[in-house]
Amino acid sequence: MILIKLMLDFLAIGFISYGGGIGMISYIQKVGVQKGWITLDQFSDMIALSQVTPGPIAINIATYSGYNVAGIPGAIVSTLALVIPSFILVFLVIKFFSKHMNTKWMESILDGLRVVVLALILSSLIPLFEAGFIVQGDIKWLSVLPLAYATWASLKKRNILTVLAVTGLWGIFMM
Amino acid sequence: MEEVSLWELITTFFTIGSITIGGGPGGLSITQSYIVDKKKWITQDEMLDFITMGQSLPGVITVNISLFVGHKLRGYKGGIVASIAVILPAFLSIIGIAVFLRPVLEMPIVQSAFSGVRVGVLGIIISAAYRMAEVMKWKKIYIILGLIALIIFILTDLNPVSLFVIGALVGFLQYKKEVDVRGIGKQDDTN
Repeated sequence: MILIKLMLDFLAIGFISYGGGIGMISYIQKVGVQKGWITLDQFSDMIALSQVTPGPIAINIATYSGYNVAGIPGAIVSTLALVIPSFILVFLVIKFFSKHMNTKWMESILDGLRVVVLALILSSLIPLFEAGFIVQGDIKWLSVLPLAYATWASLKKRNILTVLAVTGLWGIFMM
Repeated sequence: MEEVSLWELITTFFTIGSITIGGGPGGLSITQSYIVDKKKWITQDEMLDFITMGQSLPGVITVNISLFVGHKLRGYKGGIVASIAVILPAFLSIIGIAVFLRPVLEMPIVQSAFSGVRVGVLGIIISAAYRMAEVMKWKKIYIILGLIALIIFILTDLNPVSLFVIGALVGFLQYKKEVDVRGIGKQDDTN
């Protein structure tokens, strides 16, 4: 029963979630934390681990959430359910629409979608802020320093391993 | 051209899935150089079409692109085989972490390292959001839509699906409006 629920939720995510990695995982955060598949701390840790594991971040998070809920069967179900809508949509496009892709109306629909995805990503920052800044009930204001560093380094496309190492060391020695 | 064997599709896409650490745009260029330059399975132009279409559809972009490429080489079977192969490394590595590394993740020193890393993750997401906002079209209607969506997402637990549908609808109506204003109708589709 839990597997069917998991499957339906991830099918929905696969069908509608748009905007690449971060957009998709913001969706999983919104729905998954609410339903108790994954805690906020676990979610945040998995984003970090996904930076150093192979493959798309949305797959990593889906697999981990499924494993949390129902072990290896759960992981298989959530991961497959996330990608099966892509099979259907891509094959439909190949069969019927390939010459209508990338026309103005498609682009315009995507413009509207992107705005909503961005709003979802921004709203997902608030709980992640709480997970990052509040440690055992204390607000760690000094954490703005590693936050500023990590934001700057990611914007400048510096090596992500360095970012994880520096913020990890900050966690060990300063928090 | 000689037909590509399913086994070769599997090994190639498994390799691509293994070396695209962290995913994202870097992963796309690795996929491209592998399929177009190294294997010479499809041309650069076809690849760019697949990337554009893959990004325009919902779902994981790498999976979408693997479906297009696999289908081009070996039909529907090829598409399914390629996309499963490309996600397998991600799946296996997370299962490995979940099964074997959980005790390590729960060690106090690792936990305190992660309390710092969680702040770093915020920075990574902020920069991803910034990069996305940078290339978006900021018409007045989209700003209003974005603000309303943001408030709803913050204040309620509404499933994002409904707002995604509304966003798509607003985008489509915006297209309709622009077409009507210019009065050139359907011819615009061919641009």
